[in-house]
Amino acid sequence: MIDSINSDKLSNLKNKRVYDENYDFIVNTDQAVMITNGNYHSLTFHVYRLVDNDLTENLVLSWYNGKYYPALYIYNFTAEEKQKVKNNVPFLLTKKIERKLLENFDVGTVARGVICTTTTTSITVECSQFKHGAYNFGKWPECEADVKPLQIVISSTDCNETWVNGGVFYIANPGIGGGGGGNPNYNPNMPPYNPGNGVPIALGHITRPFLSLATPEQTFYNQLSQDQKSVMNVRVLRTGILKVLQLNSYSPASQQLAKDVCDFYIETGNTSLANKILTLAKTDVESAQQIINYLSNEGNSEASQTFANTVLNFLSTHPGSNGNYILNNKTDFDSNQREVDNYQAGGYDNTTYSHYSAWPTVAPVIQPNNFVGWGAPGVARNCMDYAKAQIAEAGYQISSYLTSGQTFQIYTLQNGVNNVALSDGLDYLKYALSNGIPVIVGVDDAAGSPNIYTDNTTDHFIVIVGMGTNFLGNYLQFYDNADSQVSKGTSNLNLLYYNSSTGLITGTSQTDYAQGLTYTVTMIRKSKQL
Amino acid sequence: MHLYENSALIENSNVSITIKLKKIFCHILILVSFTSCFSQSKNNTGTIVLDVSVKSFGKTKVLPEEFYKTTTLNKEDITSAFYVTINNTLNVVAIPVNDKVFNYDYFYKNIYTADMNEKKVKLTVQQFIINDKKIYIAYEIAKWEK
Repeated sequence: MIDSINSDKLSNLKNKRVYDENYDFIVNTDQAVMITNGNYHSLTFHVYRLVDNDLTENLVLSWYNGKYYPALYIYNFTAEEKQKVKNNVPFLLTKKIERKLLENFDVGTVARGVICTTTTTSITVECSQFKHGAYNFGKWPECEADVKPLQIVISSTDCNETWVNGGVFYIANPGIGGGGGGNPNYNPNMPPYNPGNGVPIALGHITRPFLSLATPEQTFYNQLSQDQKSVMNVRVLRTGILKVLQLNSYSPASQQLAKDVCDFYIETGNTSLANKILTLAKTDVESAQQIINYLSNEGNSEASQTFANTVLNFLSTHPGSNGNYILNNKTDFDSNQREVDNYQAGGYDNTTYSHYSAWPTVAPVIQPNNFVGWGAPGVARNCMDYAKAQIAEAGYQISSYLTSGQTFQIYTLQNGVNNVALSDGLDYLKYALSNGIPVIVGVDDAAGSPNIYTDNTTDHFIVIVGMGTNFLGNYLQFYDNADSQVSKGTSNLNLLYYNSSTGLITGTSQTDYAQGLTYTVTMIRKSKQL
Repeated sequence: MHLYENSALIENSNVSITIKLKKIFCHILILVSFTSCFSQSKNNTGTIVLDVSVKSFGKTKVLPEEFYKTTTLNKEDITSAFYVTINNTLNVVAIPVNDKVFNYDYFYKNIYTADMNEKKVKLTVQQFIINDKKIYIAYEIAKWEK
């Protein structure tokens, strides 16, 4: 028997729209229609898809035996009929309904947040022959129509101070169709009548078509260009973009990133990388945008995509790292040694030092007892970090790689010696050492390079602490922090000789790491005061 | 053989394994466990404990790609190596450290000093065969026990 009218309170929606990746639809929970019948009730939500299928779809959660059973109701309406639905104008639904049970739908994503104020209305549904209705309860047992008359209760649910007009109703009877008008104001003196066959059949099926207003997802989608909309046909990207938008509350930044990812995909077709960027954006839109900007600035070249992929892999395993920092300090991002630097901006030494032809002799500007050996606690185990810790002993830090005038790239495997940079770099070294400033330099010591996206040559970093001349020529003395042993790291035999004919600066280190290796200086990095 | 030549790859390894009798049973259990765990990799020949003399602890040399493919370790996980001699030989061997599992806390508390030259320790290592050469990867260190 249909119960009396109830008033219900449902919990407030925290997330107004729920995107379901399994079924690739969005449930708009801004509004819902609640229909109750005794202990039974159903919740009807408007469902839509970014890529419009021109169908009216509703998610119906049907409460039965203490559990919601989800189903998708698909209405094949014409534009005119959709307008009728929006205006609450009833019409016959015969052959316009299809129902699909959603066995894999997580009901909790929608139901757990529902807290709305509802009002309810008792309504009566005529039979499909329109011979039995609210006007002749006593004759209902005689009805022979396919769809018997029903009396149901519709609750108008307000979750957002917007009332859903529950005064017009439909009976969704999949495969049969049905429906009809009713009197929303009819409040009968309930006769002792149990609709019998009607209500059990209706369990899980009591609903009405429901269309809601455009949502942020739809608004976002409508802003896209045709090409960008076509990207939304790629399901993995569509699901990623929708998640990013939802998790970031449709912020302008997240919408911009989503559009940029679309553009990136249009140009490159690189689904994997686009998806990785979106994955990062779920938790860090800013870093994701920095990566997409980097790719754009690099013309989305293959090399930039490869490097971006490396950065994304790094960020995924090192949460909290800053994508922009890595991108701006690429030379120190060493996939083998995890050399992610942390430059401080500003305080740059922009002096161009005058040419100084003499080769001065400078004793080590850092004493061996201040050597920072490999494994020294508190320093990340990579050569750049130990080199930085080493010059910090003298009160200095490394300057930024990318900032103009802070790095002298004197040699690469690809292009050989850059004589201008070499001359300037040597002038700087003479100035620095003569003034007690240690200098970090990069060296090539093996085939290939972990820094393939920067100079593609440097393998290792050491610290130049002195210079002089012996019977073999002019040399630079260095500390090699690749070893825990002071005697090896600061050996007087750690020398790099300058060959004025070739422009190469080469030498060997006494560390165990360097046995069998020849160091060739690739870059000279300016120091600045801590 | 050159003193340091190809030190990460140990050819013709004739390293004797010192296993205390009183610990044989435990080691057998460990070996059985690891044999079981890694039986899927025919290149992984299990674990052993090496008595070594540390020459230094330092940056690891560039390792071949086959190393990472065989061991399934990431490059980020191999930053350092122990440069050691084994059984009083002169040959210095580089043993990369698996940062993911190595007991660094113990290492820093009980082993590491600014000068570890000739310090004797026990290194528990995994053995891999790559291109017919034996490679060790350190994943645990302990004090030398006489």
